[in-house]
Amino acid sequence: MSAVAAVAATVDGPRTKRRWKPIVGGGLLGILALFMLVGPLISGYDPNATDLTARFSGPSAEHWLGTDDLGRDLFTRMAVGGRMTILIALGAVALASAIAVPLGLLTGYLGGWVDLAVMRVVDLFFAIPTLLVAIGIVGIFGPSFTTTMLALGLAFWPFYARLVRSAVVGVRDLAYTDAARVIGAGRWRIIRKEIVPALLPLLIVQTTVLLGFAVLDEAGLGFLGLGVQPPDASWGSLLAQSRGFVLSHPWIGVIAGVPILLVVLGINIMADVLRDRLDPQGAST
Amino acid sequence: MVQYVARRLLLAVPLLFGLSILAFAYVRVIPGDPVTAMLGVNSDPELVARLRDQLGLDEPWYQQYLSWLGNVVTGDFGISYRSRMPVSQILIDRIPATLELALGGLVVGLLIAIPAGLYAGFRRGSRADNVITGATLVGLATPGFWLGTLLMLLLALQLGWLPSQGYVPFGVDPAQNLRLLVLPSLTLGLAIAPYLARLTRTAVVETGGEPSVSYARAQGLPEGTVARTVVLRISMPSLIVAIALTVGFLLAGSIIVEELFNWPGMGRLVAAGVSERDYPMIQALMLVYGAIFIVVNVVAEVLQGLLDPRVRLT
Repeated sequence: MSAVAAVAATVDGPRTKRRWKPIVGGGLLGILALFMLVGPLISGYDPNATDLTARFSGPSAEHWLGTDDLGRDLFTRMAVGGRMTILIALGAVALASAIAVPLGLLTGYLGGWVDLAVMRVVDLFFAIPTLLVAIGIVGIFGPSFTTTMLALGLAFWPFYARLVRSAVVGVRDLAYTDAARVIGAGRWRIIRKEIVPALLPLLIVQTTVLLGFAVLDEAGLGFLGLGVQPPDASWGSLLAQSRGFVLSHPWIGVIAGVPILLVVLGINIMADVLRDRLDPQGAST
Repeated sequence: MVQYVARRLLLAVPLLFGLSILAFAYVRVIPGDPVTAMLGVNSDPELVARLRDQLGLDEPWYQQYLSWLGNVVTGDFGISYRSRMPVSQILIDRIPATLELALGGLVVGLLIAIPAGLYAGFRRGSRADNVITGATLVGLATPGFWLGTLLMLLLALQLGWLPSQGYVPFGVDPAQNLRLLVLPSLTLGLAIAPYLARLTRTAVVETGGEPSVSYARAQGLPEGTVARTVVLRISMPSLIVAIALTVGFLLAGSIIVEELFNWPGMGRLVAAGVSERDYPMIQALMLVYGAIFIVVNVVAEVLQGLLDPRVRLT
């Protein structure tokens, strides 16, 4: 294994070649964070203020990214909508982690019937497309900001739980966990002091990856009209709104997707960077 | 081999059973009464009572579940609350369009991803690998429906090469059907290609270290021959299973692509069913999507067993 890793390292060249990654990834996220936080302040518009005299105006000095069907400033709406989308994504990932990490730790460490039962439920969730699970949950609570967060969190946990579980199984019987057991450490102490620290790199990388998926799926739900509802803006709801006039005024639909692409790209690049830094074994592939 | 296939099939049974319980339970947790959803809030109480009786809503839940399951197994998914037509009839009308789209998307995705992933995997660290890996990274970050919108604007509206949206059954006008299929399946294919390419590359990279590969190289075989005859052959079984797992992405993607291109498949029923509380429809959709995924994965595992005898032993 180590021989293969050594060969792999030479094939990939020295690590220094990847120095662009944190700069590009961090740069993308930094610029977008600035856009979302400061954008509405410098544009000077209220994101929900309509101006029927300026409907569908293209990019101009007054409206940097133009306006929508009600004359609302798109630059401001995209910045404010981004805050909404990112909040939803963060909340969804937090919820998924809150369910998946304890469950994964328990099932992986304890094994037995608990493991069997929980993993069969996870299998079940695997069979239904994530988006369909999320849509189903929206069906229960009705579309809103909170529901979107809840729906994505509940749709994501099974994947995460399975990953955590198999990682736990991987370290459960290693020499140092055995050693802890031999000196009389209890179950909880071993999980807390031996297993969780070993898993931390994986958890960090995985939450980052999930964050990217959450942004994309928020947009997907929004696109279907099942996300954040008007007049509030999120990146998903902006896309849904743009569908109504994509043929007559394609501009809005075109730019609405750009920040999503850039944010998810930034997140994914940072996930790669974290993987390289934190987990030398996974870095080779 | 027979034993292996039988075991795979048997493992799918509890999964399908669990799926049915989930689909049934789902409808129980939705707030709001189905009869009210059908008849409206201010309806005649007597009519409500009669309909409740007719739908069996006053029976205990396990009885409702069993009679529902019995019907489902015989292909009766109940009556759609929205259109008052049998759900099975609606689904039968729409499944072909969804399967056509999914197949089209899968073909496009594989045509792009397999060569790209193989090439990147074989020439790891090369310029081509960097380009392909970079494109994969961008592709993974691109929302599918946004990509579809761009393709529609470019290929249909700007260049006028293709019709922008709509559907004609293959039986009615095969040429037009295929012309209309191009944009949606291109969108879906491009959306899943990054996943497939990454899986392919990983599979190739992992088999690159096998002794048989080193042996083939040591014999002086050209890289191309090593790639085709040894690496591809070894990684094929695990690749098939990996591709089957992306069917989930494919189905989720088809829900959105159908909506974008007015493609009359099952996916269009999803959002409509949820917003109109069409319970029997939602149940049926969960079952059908889940069953497609489960069946595809069982088939993939059986294929894996056929191609790789080692798998059969575990």
